[in-house]
Amino acid sequence: MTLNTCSALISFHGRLEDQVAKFYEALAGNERYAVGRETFLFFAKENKKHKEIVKRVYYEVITDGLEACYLNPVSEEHYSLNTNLTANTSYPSALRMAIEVEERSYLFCVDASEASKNFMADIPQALRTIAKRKAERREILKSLLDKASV
Amino acid sequence: MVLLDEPIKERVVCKDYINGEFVESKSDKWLDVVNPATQKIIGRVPVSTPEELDKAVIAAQEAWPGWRRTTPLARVRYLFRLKQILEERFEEISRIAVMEHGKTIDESRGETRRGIENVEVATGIPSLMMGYNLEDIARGIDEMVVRQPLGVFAIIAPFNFPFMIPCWFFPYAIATGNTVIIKASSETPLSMNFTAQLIDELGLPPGVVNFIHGDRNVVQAILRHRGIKGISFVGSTAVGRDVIYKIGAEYGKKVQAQCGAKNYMVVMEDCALEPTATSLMTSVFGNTGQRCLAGANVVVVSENDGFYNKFINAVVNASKTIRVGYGLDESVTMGPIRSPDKKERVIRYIEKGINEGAKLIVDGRKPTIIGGYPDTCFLNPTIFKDVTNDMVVAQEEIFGPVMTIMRAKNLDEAINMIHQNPYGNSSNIYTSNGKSARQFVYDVQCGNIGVNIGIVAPMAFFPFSGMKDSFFGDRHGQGQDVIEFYTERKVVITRWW
Repeated sequence: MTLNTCSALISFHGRLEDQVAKFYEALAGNERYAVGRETFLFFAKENKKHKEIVKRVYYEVITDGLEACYLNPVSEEHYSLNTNLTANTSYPSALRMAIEVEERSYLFCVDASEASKNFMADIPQALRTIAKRKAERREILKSLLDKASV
Repeated sequence: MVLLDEPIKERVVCKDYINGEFVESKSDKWLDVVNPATQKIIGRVPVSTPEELDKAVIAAQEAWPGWRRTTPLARVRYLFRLKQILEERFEEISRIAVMEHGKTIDESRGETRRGIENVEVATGIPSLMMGYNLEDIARGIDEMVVRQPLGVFAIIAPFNFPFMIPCWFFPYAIATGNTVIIKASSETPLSMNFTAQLIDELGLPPGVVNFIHGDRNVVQAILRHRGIKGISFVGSTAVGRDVIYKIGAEYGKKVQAQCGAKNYMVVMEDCALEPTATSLMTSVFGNTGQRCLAGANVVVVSENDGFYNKFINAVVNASKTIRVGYGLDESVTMGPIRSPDKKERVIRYIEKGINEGAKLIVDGRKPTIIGGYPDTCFLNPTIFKDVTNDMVVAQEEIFGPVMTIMRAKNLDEAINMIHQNPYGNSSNIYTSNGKSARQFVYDVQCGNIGVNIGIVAPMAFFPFSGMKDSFFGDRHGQGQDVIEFYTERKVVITRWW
């Protein structure tokens, strides 16, 4: 589906953060991935916060004088995430999945920020800030993967 | 297609809210409230009787002395609570407005936010309502000005912003110590009907805020009611000037009437073309063109055919990205016209434009509708080029998604074109040249001026201005203006022996 309005963009962002939060909660709840539990729990909490931040910014700055409910459309399909853990998913594989999740989420935030640049400035700015954090998280996961591979 | 959940599941029966109680009207005349996208009846609204209006006025009159004596600080604490409740019910309010009006969910949330911003600004009344003073105007004698409320005010709202426009007025009216009667549009009464329920939760003294439903008959009764001190009105120029302002004055009322518009968007050759085209889309087609700040006449200032054609291509291409459908569908960027008769009116203007010789380059009369909804109220964007300023489509307010493109040789000519129009609500210039922008701001006789801004919607702490046939009165809605409207200045000179 194409995201062509700010409302659609914000809704999709919310769903994406929810999906990622659930993924990390599942990782944290599984003994097999206990080494990374604290990180996963922290990330899940952050995802919920990110959802709320973007939603709050949108609801606070939206105005009847709004220009550009017309976004440069972005396609939802580009950011579909694989968060399905199986009984055979090892800790390193789970980390690789998480890195992929962060990369796609990062891409979405960067693209959504660009797509909404004609909208009220606070929204792209919030998305950029979150994208930056997702890039940091990706590095944290990479370092966990390095340690797991030793 | 993601269709958001509809908050109205069953038909709403609108009730008047008089003296702190919800009352079902005894009127034998009721009107249907129809969702313009789905054509489903979502509510019923009474045309309240003169006796019911009278009860509301008496309740407001009786509440006034006590409310006036309530301290400003205590009065605004009700507004702090209202702000909180409105935030909690933000999404519900927004979706109700989509269902009754037809606008998109983004547009509706924008409307809700702007309404709440007015409540926020009105909480500053203890500062905003202050008078002024000077010691020793003569030796030992001091003089001061105090602002005092007047009594009962009526607020008559239009259909196009059913939540926001009453909020331009009533928070300030009650914060300054007046009592109010709010009459929502009979076409879109559900947002205010819901707001009445939220206001009821505040526990305001009975009679401070009253809601009365109805049509023009109720308006006529309000105008002639001796118990009402003043009227805040938003609607068409014909009604605002010839009915509200005239009869209101006859009956000794203070009146502020914010009326119609025909807004010019001046595009200079040095503008940033891509963002200008995008901005124009929302300006002209946002809220389906049904707003007094909508862009209508686009004047391209250029003798260069190449630029003119490039501009036209840009707006035509941008207009093709507009998706028309039900506003609760998140992929929709333009909703329906409010009612079939309003749609017919817009179509008649399109036909007039064709007959006058304007070139129809985008014809919105046979709409493509996302979601397969009935086409009863839908139109797609329409664009005319080679329009001249004397054409009816350039002079009259169409109140629909129609862009009329004209040309001017230079900025002076463009400004003259604006001044030939009887309206003076809003005008905009798109340019990267500061000198042109300054000349435009300085010379153009309109109440709200934009520089590279599509919709010059003043923030709550500024007045919503308007000139010429777009405004009748001397104090506008919102900001300091509306506080002055709802208060009288009293001069006090004191000497103590």
